[in-house]
Amino acid sequence: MPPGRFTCLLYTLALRAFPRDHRMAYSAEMTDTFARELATRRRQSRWRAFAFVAAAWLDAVRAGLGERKYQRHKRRYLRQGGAVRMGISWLDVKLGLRMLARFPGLAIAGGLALAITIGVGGGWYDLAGDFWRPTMPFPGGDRIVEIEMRDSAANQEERRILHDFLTWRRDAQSVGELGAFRTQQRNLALGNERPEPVTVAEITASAFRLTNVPPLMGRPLLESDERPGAPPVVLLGYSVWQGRFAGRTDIVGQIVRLGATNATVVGVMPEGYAFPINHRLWTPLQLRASGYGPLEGAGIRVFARVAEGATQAQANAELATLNERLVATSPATHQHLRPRVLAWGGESPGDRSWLELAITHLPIVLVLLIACANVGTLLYARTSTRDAEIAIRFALGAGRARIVSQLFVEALVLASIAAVVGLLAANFAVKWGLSAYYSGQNDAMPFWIRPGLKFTTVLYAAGLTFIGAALLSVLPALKITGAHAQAKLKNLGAGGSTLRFGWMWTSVMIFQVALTVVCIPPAMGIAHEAFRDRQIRERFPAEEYLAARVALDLDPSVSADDDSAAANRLDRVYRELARRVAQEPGVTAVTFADRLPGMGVAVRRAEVEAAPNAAPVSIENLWTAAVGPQFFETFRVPLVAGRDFHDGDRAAGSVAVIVNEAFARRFTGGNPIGKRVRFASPDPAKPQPWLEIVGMVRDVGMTPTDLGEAPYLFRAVTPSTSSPLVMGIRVAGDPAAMIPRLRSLALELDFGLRLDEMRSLDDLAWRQETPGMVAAGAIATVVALGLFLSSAGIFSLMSVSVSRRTREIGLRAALGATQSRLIAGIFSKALVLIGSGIAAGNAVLLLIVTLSDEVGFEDVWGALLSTSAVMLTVGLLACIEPARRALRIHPTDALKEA
Amino acid sequence: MPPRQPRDPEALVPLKQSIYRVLLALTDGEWLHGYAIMQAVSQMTDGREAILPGTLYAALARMVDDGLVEGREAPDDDHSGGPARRYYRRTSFGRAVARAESERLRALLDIAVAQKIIGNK
Repeated sequence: MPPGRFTCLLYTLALRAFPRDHRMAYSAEMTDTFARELATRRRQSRWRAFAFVAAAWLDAVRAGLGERKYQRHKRRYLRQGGAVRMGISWLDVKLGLRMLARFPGLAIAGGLALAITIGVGGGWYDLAGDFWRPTMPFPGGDRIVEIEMRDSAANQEERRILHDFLTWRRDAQSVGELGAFRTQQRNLALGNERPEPVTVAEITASAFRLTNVPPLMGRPLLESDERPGAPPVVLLGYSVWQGRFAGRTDIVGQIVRLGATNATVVGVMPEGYAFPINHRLWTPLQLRASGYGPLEGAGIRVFARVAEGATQAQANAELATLNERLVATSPATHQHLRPRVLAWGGESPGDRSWLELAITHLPIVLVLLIACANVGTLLYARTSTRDAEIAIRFALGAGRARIVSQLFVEALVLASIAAVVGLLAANFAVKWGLSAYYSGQNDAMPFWIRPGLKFTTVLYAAGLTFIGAALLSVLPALKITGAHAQAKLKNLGAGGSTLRFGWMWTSVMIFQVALTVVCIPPAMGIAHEAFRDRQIRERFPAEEYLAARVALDLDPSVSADDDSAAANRLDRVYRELARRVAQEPGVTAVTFADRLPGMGVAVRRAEVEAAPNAAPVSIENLWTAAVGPQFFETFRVPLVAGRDFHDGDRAAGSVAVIVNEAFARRFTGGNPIGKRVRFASPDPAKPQPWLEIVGMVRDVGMTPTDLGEAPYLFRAVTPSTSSPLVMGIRVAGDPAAMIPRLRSLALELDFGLRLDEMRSLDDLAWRQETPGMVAAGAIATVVALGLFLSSAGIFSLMSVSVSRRTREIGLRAALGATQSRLIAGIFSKALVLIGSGIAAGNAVLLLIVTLSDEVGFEDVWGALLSTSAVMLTVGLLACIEPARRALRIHPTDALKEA
Repeated sequence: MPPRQPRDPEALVPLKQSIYRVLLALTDGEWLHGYAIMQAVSQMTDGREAILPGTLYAALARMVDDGLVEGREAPDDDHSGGPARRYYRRTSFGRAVARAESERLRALLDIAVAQKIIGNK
C-alpha cells in the first residue's frame, strides 16, 4: 500500500460522521485535500504529519456531527413552513373565524351542538361535585362525614339513633368529634317585636370544634349548655343578627323569645356559617343523663370527623363491627339496621372510587362523543371544498403536522365559541335549577352549595373543549393528509372531489339517524305529558285556595315523653285559629290535612277484601291522605256513596276510611261501602288492623295529573295527629292577600304558633310545573337539534356524492338517462342510509319496550310509525338540493372535465 | 434542497469563524478549489491560523446553501491529478455578508481601543 493510503482510509472513516448527502457531494474532495496537505506536512516532518492527521481526523468527526445537527434543524425548519414552533398561531385563529363566516349553517348547527354538550358537561360536573362529594369551606372539611343508619328491610333511613350515637361516641376510634343535631322550626322575637319563624339546629357543642370556625362575637355552645336543666342559650347566625336585630353590638347577653322559651344570646357566628346544613340559629341538644334505649328518643342526624390516619372505609368497617354487638344484644330493633359513613352533604359512600369517577365523567364523555360524531361529519364534508388548498400546501412544503394543527385550530375556534355560550347558559341553568329545586322542597340551599359554576368547572369545560376539538379535527385531518395526498394533487383538474365517506363516517351517520329515532318518542311523550299536566292543573281552581303549614313550638319544660299535653294544646289552638280564620271576610271554607290537592300524596302498599271472607287483593300503590273536617266540602268534592267523616272517626283506633271512585272501579267492582282494606305490614306475623270503607267520593285529583286513575284512601285525623298539619283556606279573592292577616291571627292566639310556607295553591302548582315545562322544552330543543344535524349530515353526504359522481351523472345524461332514473340513482344511497338508521332506531325502541314493564307494544306502534315518517321526510328533504344540483349538470361540461 | 438565500446580509451575522475566514480568503472573481482555500487562509494569517478539511468543507457546504459562494466543476485546464475538484467563488452577497461581519468586528474593535485594551493602529 503506498504511503498515506492507509491514513486516507482512516480519514475516510472519520468522514462517516458527515451526513450521507454531504459525503456524496464532498468526500472525494475532502480526502484529496487531506492527502495533499498530508504530503506537504510529511515533507516538513513526520511529527507534523502525525499531528495533522490526528487533528484532521478529530476535526472531521466534530464537523461531521455538527453538520448532521445543522441538517436536522434545517429540515424541521422547512417542514414547519418557516415557523420555529409548532402551535397555535394567530393566523390559524383568523382562518378559523373566516371558515365559520363562510359556512354559517355549520357554524350554527355545530356550535349549538357543542354548546349544549359542553354546557351540559360543565353543569353536570359542577352539580355532581356538589351532590356527590361537596367541598366543605372549613379546614379539614373533606374529613367531615355523616353516620347514617339504614333500615334494610324498610329501605329507608332510621333516625331514632340516640342509643347508637352514644355507643359510637364512647367506643369508636376511627371517627372523632362525634356530634348530633335535629332541625326545629321556631318563632324568634326580641322583646315585643313580631316573631318570625327561623330554622334552628339543636346541636351538640362538638359541632363548633369540628368546623373550627370561631364566632364573630361571644362564644360558641359548650358541653355545659347540653346538660339537662342548664339555662337556655342560643347562638345567632349572621343573617339573623343583621336582619332581625339590626346588627346590634350589644346582642350578646340579650334575652330572646325562641318558641315557648326565653333564651340568652351567647354569641354570633360569622357570615356564611350555616353548619350543619342551612341553619341560622343554634341551641344545645340536651340529652338524658340516663341514656336511651334502642330506637328511643327523637330522631337525630350524626356527624363526625374521620380520625387522622384513618380512612372512610376503615370507619365504615369499625362501625359495622360495633353494630354487630348491638344486633346481638337487641335483635328485635337492630336486626335490619346497618350504619354507613357518608361524606358530609354528599352521597359518596366511601373513599374516591371508580364508581364515583364513572358517575361523574361517563355521561359527559358519552354526550361529547355523540356530539362530536354529529359535528365531525359536517366538518369532514366541509373539507371536500378544500382539497385544492390542502394539496397545494403539501406541494409548497407544509408538513402533515402543520396541516393537522391548522385544522385542529379551526375546530378549536368553533368549540371555544360554543364553550363560552354553553358555559354562560349552564351557569344560568345551574343557578336557576338549584334555586327552583330548593324552593320546590320548601328549603334553603345548604351552605356548601354556591350557585354558579366554579372555577374548576370552567377548567373542566376548557378540557372538554380541547378534547372535543381534537375529536372533531384530528381523525378527519389524518385521513385527508394521509398517504394519498399526492394523488389528490393529480385529481385537482378532474373536477371531482377526492373525499370519500368511508364505512366509518357512514356508520356514524347511521348511528346519528338511529339515535334521533330513539329519542323522538320519549321527547314527544315528555312534552305531551308536561302540556297535558298543565292543562289539567288549569282546570282545578287552585287560585281560590291558600295553604299554610301549621306547627306549635313546645315548651321544653314539658318532658319530651309527655306528648298528650302537647297534642291537646295543638288541637285546642288550631281549632281556635280555624274558627277565627273562618270569620274573616272573604273566607268561604277552612279545613286541614296532611297535604292539599297539588301537594303530592303518600303512597303505601295495602290489601283489600273485595267480599266477606274473600282472599285479599294486593294493592301496590295506594294513594293516601289524612284529612280534617269539611275537607271534601272545602275542595268541592262530592260524596257519591256512604257518608262523610264525623268526629267519632277521628278518635284513636278508628277504622273508618273513605275511598274514591277509582278505588272502587279497580278493587271492589262498584260499591265499596262496607268493604275492608288494610295497609301492608313490614312483619307478616303482625298484620295491620282492617279498616272499613264508610264513604266514596268523586275522583278529587290530589295530584291533578292522575287523570282520575289513581286509587285514593282518606283517613280522618285531628290536628295533632296530622303530620304535617296543613291548613287549607278557600278565599273569594286573592289568597295571597290573606297571608299577613293569617300571621297576625296566629300571633294573637299563641306566640308559639308558627305558620310556614304560606302560599296559594296556584303558586304551588306553578312551582311544580315549571321545572317540568322547562325540562320538556329543553329535551324538545335537543331532539330538534338532533334532527337538524341528521339532515345536515345526509345533505353533506349527498353533496359529496354528487360532487364525486359529476362525470358519471353527465355521461349517463348524455347517454339518454331520464331525470327520474338519475334522481333514483342519487336517492338510492340516501335511502339506504336513512332506512338503515330508522331500522336500527326502531329495533332499539322495540328492545326497550320488551324490557320495560311500563310501556306496552300497543302503545309503541303508533310512535314508531310517526317517528319513522318524520325521519324519512326530514332525510328526503335534505336530499332535494343535491338532487337539483345533479340535474343541472350539463353532459358536455361533464365530458370536458374528463 | 434548493438553497435559501436571505436577502438581508445582517441576518447571517454573526458568522462562524470558519465561514468568515473562507470569505476573506476568496477574492472577487477568483475561483479557488478547497485545498487552495486552505492555503490562502494559512497565508493570510501568516501561518497563525489553519483550517482543516472537515471544517472547511462543512463551511463550504453551508456557504453554498446560503448563497455566499458559488461552486462549479473544475475547468478544463486543471490537470492537478486525483479526483475532480470543485472550484468556489465568492458571490456579491457573500461579499456583503463579509462586509457586515467586518463592520460588526470593527465596532467591537473600536470599543476595545476606546477602553485601551489594545492600542490604536
